[in-house]
Amino acid sequence: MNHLTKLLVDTDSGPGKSLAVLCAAGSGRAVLEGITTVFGGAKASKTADHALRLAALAGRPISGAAGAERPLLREWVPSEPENGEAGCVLPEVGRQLERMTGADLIVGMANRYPGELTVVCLGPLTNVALALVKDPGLAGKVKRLVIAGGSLKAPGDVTPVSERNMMLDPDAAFRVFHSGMPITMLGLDVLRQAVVPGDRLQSVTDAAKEADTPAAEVVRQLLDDLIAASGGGGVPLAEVFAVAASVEPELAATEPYAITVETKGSLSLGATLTDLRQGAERKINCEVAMNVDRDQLVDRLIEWLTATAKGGAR
Amino acid sequence: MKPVILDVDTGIDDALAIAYAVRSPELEVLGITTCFGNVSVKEASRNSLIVLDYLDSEIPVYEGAGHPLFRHYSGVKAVEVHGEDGLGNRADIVPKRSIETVGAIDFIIGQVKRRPNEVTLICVGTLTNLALALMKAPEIAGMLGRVVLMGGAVTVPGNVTPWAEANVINDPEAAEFVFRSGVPITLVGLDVTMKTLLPEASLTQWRAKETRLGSFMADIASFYIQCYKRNYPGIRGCGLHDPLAVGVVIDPSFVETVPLHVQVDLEGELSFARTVGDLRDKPEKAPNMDVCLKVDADRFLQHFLDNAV
Repeated sequence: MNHLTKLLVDTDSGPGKSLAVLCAAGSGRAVLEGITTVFGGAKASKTADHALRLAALAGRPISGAAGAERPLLREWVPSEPENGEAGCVLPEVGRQLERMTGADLIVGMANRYPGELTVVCLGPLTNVALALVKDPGLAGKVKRLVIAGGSLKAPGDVTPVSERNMMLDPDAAFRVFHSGMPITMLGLDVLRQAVVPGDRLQSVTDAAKEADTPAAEVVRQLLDDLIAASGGGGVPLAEVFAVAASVEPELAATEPYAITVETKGSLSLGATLTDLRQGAERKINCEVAMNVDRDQLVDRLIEWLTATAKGGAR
Repeated sequence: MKPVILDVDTGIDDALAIAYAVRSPELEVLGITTCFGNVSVKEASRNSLIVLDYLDSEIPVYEGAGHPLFRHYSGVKAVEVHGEDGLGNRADIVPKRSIETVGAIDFIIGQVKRRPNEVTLICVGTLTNLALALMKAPEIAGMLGRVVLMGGAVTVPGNVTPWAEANVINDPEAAEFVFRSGVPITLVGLDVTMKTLLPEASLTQWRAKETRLGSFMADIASFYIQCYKRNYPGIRGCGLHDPLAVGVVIDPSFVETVPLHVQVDLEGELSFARTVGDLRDKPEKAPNMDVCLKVDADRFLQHFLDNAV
């Protein structure tokens, strides 16, 4: 398995994110080395417990740590109810959360696998920002940081120009983008295209039924939740796409940009910005995904989900 | 003839807009109102009077706001773009006439009330005068035929910062006040004005007319084009920002507009004074203006060249 990408997934809560964690842990297409969690939907501590159970269920009883419970310098109120997540209650696992913060775990993993670790952030960037403070050399040790968030040319989601994850901790995002870490930004420009037609998911559901494992059952449940929430339209699988694209970069064609983040005000708070004026000086700090082949993407997402439902190639 | 008031901060492209409006048979220019922006308001008034002299026009000039609504006036002028005097160093004569004793704000209010739903206001500078007029006489909001304003950049980069355009950043609160006022607005921003370039060859034609107006316009436009060449290497001319706003009033089919909700960012650091349009599939708020996103540049330019000089 040495040739497989070593992943650390940093995430907040939500059914799409749970599914992404399962894919990272159980598809056999990557090696999930660690999980860190962050505020966003639910509290980080709750999400961490849940994520570890997901990974264990998928056959990767790995290190996990609860990370930041709030943005670097702003207030945050959890939006999710206290009990359970996405309607599924998962079995207890023997594995305990590490007695360290998410930022510490990121630093530890990056130092254990210098130049090999790909960090995928599915929520606000607070943990990575803190990790960069704890280890000033971190930027040079991580193979790549993949950010599922931001937006370059597409409209925002929480404001006309801002994407949720960046808005949740714009100050952390600012520090991360200017850290010198090799970054790939999968923003709304491409995340909005990671939508799978509901009928295409039938094959995944069938594979899950056939596999008949607890992990497969959770995949099925999460998909059902996502299908129900999508109201008959396509099912958004942005986070599964982010995990897949961090392992298979050819899934999203990128262009180099100098990205910065608005950290003041409200209307544009968290907007990921770049100077597009002719002749502007550009200090490239990020590869921004601007194009996906939609048909290929749907096929690959189905492959990832099917592999996860079947329990991967272990 | 459409009755219009032209609100200017007369630098060079304002001068071109004044000439275009005054000489186009489609428009009846009721008056010119001035404000600070490219230059101080006093210079804007003087420059407008000089341009009107060259046009042999007696259209009255009404002086307006000298500073932003809620900010200290920096006094910084766009010297590089418009020259020390705002007219590419051609404001070297004393105008024959003076400004009117009535101020710009009262003039705007008076005209709109006299001809309800008829008057189109063409604002090509900061929106301070209009904002003040709306504060003084809120009832005119429902009586303005339309406000066509040059300002902002909704889908393209700015020209003062990467995100902000000059007329908006010079008084962002005034712009936001007008945007929220409910007046019918057509926004002629950099989205379209950077596509309508005045080719340098036109200046030769203007000079060939051997008129005072032709050589004056060629001189000031030449200064403007030099600045464009420095700032945008390889560009084929200078942006006809303010004239396009006049053109849109003459013939709205020069442009294609999209109804959008647009807000001015008044708090951001990087995004300060950005005109943020809600381009999402499901916008949060109803549109508050028609934003020009496409322009038939050739047809507009032809009309401009046929009439302005």
